[in-house]
Amino acid sequence: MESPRLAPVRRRARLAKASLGLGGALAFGLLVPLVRAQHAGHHKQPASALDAPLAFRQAVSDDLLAAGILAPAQASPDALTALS
Amino acid sequence: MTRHSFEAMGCEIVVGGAGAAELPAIEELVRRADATFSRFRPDSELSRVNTAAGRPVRVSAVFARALREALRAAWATDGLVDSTLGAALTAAGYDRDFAALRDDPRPPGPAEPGVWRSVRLDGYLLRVPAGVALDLNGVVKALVVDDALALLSGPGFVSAGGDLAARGPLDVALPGGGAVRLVAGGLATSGSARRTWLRGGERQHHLLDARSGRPAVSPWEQVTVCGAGCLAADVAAKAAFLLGAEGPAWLDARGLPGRFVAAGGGVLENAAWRLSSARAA
Repeated sequence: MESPRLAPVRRRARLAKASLGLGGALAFGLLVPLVRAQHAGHHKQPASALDAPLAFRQAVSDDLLAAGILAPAQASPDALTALS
Repeated sequence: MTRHSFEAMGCEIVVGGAGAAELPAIEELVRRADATFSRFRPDSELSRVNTAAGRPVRVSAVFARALREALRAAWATDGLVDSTLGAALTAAGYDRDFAALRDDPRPPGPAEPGVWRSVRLDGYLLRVPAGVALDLNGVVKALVVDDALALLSGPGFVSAGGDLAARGPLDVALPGGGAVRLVAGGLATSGSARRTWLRGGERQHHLLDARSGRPAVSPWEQVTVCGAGCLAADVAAKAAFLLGAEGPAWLDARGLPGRFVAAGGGVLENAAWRLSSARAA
């Protein structure tokens, strides 16, 4: 027959095991999202193409391809633009 | 306005308004560019780069600058104006000075598409993939025009084979008839009406489709664009020609005045050309 002194000991042991199990599960649940957010191997934002941003490309294009100024001819031509 | 002309870079260079001290400096600039960037001179820096077979090469500051502008042009035109088509031009038969080019019954060689994104320029260290040959002629000619204009102390203009830039108003005759006043910037004309030859019985020209490496098919014979400088005008004119029917709208989207001469002789001015003329009048 089990000693009456062992019953509270077993109850405390069960409680301790349940607490450890629950605490472990809670810690795991909390830490996994944190690890995913911090680990370098995980995307934090949606993936984007490895190219310069569109605004930068637009600036380069605008810089190179700027327009000149024309007006109607006012005299006989001094020069010619043509295929060489 | 005083005018001087001389032959260099396979075309006629015309300088208007140059003083006695400025003209020799311009001639030296042009001849040095020709010696550096000629595809047909084995001693040119371009030939040294093109024969490096994928090895890194240290290039001069002048070469690096021209290549940067060429890569910028490719970027700004989404690869339409691609300077890595030298081997494709050779395959099409353009393997010597145009004046020495003769029709050839052999079929064109295999053409490779443009690969401008694979060119690596880190400072003055350049690596071009093996088998790829650069052709910087168009960009260099336009750059030389802009640089030569900067050597003039007063009003004047510089033209290289019809691509020109001016300081001060200049009345310019246009392909297919008509004229326009260039108030500021440059004018360039690109197309397939000249510099054509036969290879294997097929008509070839120097404006290649970067996707196929073959001469582009376009409804236009000549496209003239007005840019802030000759380089802008030249790059945009080539892109507009290569885009075909979409060319006028592409120029309009960038505010660039463009004038298109179709194969049948019809002339079309885009909205920016008409607007620019009307606004400045």
